[in-house]
Amino acid sequence: MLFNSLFFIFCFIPLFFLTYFCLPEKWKNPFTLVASILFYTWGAPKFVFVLSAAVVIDYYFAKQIARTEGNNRKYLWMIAIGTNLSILLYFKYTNFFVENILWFFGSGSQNVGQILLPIGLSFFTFHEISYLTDVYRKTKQPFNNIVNYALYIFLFPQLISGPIIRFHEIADQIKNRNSNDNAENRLLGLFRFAIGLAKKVLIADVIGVEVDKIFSAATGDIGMTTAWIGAALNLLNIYFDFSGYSDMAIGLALILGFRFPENFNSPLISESITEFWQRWHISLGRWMRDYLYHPLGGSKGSLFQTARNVFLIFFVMGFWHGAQWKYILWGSIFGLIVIMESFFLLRLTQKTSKWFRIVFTLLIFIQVLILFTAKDVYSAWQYFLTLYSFTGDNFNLFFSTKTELALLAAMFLAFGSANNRLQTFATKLFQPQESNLAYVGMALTTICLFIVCSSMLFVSGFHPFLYFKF
Amino acid sequence: MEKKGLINYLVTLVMVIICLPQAFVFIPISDKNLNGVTEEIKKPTWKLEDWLSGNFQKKYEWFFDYNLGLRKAGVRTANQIHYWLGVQRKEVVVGKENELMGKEYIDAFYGKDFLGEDSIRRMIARVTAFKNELKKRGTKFFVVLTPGKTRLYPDRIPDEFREKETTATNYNCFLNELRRANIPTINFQDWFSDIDKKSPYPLFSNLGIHWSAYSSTIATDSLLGCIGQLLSKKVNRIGFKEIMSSSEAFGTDKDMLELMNLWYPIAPSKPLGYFKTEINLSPEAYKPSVLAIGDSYYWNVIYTGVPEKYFADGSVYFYYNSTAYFKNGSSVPVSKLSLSQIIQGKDIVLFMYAEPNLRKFGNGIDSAYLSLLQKDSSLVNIISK
Repeated sequence: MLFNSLFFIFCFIPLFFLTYFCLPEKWKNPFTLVASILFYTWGAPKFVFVLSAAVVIDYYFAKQIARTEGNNRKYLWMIAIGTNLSILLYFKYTNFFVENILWFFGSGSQNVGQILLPIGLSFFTFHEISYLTDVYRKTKQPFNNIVNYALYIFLFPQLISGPIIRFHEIADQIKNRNSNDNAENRLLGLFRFAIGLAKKVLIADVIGVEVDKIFSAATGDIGMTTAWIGAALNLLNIYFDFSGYSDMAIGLALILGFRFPENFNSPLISESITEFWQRWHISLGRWMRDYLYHPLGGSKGSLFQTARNVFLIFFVMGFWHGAQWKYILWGSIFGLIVIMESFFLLRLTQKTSKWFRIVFTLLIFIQVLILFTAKDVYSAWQYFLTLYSFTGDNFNLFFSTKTELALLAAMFLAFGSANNRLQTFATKLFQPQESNLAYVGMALTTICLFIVCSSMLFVSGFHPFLYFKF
Repeated sequence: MEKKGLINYLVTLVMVIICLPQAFVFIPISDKNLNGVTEEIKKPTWKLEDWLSGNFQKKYEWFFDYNLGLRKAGVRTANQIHYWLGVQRKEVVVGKENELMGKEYIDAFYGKDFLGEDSIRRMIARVTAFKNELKKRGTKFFVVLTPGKTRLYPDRIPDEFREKETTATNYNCFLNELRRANIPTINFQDWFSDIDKKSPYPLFSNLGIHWSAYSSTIATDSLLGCIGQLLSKKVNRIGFKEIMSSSEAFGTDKDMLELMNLWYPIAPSKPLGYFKTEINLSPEAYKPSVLAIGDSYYWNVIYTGVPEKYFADGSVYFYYNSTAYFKNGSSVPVSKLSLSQIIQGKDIVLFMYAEPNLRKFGNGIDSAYLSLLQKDSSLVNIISK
């Protein structure tokens, strides 16, 4: 079930929340868990049993880890992590490995029978690992109640595409449901959901149509100018698609009384790729830092070891996005750039102006992101060559007023926070407000956005979120 | 008002708004139906295998979306916003000066559906054989190429759809081949180009896809003239009384506008002309028996009342070779009729096609008829081509 489907907005939300608001506190978690499982089952009925089995196994693993000390504790944790990674490896990477091994031994890249990837498995596994590791590290005690634990894993706002919530960030909120469950958060959550929906429906989907046209054009049909426009639009499309989804997830959680961490912080005004990754998909970066980078030694070792750790993080991040060479290359390139920045590039760019650094960073990100959208590495390379081909256009690129407005809004939202006043406004926008008028404005904006977005959904086709495939 | 109370009210208000579409599934409200092709989507039946494959969920969501309350209002709102923002939709292209166009006409104008010379030559060879067979049986055959506004006003094609013009189009090729084969042809496209500037009323309403009520009435009268010439007989002609000028479009003059399903209709760019006609049936005039095969342009001919009043009983219109409409208003699927019986005794058989439908020229009637006459071995080669 997609957050941007009419079925979710006009069936799931009213039925779920109207019941949820009426329930006493002790029933809220069990009810949310049942609804979350139904939510998942609606989209992937076959896999709910696999995920449920993993949840039960991990729950008992974590309890056992908490009870055990010494080396056995470590072994138990490793077995538990290994079990979860095996599930991920099997479903997500078997096809990739088998195809590449066959290709290596000269059997061609024949199709070896596809194993379907359960939707949201990558995010699901990261949540499981976070839970097991936090318990192992004694950062948090495991839940004594399997409903609470299953809710952490299955909680529908974050189940399919994150944000990736580390266990220690949400454990207390799950146990103590009264802390954030109030009318103010409900209104803020509805407002945030509507903003996310608008980002997706009114901006990302509109820009996405142009991106699809350009990226699906035959090589040679598009010239250098269109290729650059397409690459820039591709960045805006992915940003508004994913940040829109994150806003919707954070908003839904807030209506339930959960405070999720932010996933984006105006990444398009970053002055370096290192900074970009601190502002883009923040929850993934933090997870990688806590559960991979630090255990590898982080930046405590030699320069070479630090560089190796950084590269590994980005390599894994790329591979986590998808079992394709293009994602591996995508992650590896970012890893290399971040290493270069820490060695010398940052010192060089520091001598230039702020806007030069922003544009320079964007230019790099735009080009590497082509790998994300292109069909494969070869197509990405062809597209990349077009960027520097100095050839004319044979492509009828035309933007309607709707696309132009979507682009204007996208530019304003993406780059507006480079201005300090707008940055302050944006930061306060989703926080509790002082004046009553602000809340009235929020409610009216929410209603207007719901009406406009749902009208658009009535006439548009199926537009899944880009991050659903991961 | 106290902040907490206010926020509670506001949350309730937003939730009520979200619940409204569901509520209006059960609360009937009068809402004008949407125009265009609509289909009834039935509630899917639950089956385990459908559920596991996700098919049930897909179908259910489709059913839910389609039957959601306020859907019609939602569609109109989206269409209105799209129109205001200049978004082109595949059903209706909004051209310059608010000229509504069909995308298939633009594609045909730029030769995107071009069948190729060989293919068209083969089609015309079949039609020629068909014409000759009809001639043997005393039936005259001719072709009517109806006009398209895209070819008449190419300058009104929106920039988004503009391409390099080409002569490699079905229209050009058909015209050449029909001339070469000496098949009598009325080319209304050329005629419209000649009279467009001089015409006191638009030949095309900017809100319709077909020829306007005004121009189609004049064209129908010319058609009667041609039929009379071909048969060398006097036939009845339309009695023009007066023209009413209207700033409002009626009937097919706004068929494209209706497909757009807007809240606020677009006005015609110029006043449209509507003839008041009278039936002048002369006792000595001949009532021809006509079989017309063609696309929707022929509906405007029917709306003039000419086929009903001026044609003989048994005259019939084959809409794309799918449905036969008789002059008494009855209709049957063409497949249920005997083609040889239908053609037998007809004075006239005519093909009437607009540019994008030339690909379906004849809709297989010619081949079907020739197949019936397969006894003549010389025809076999032509049919098999």
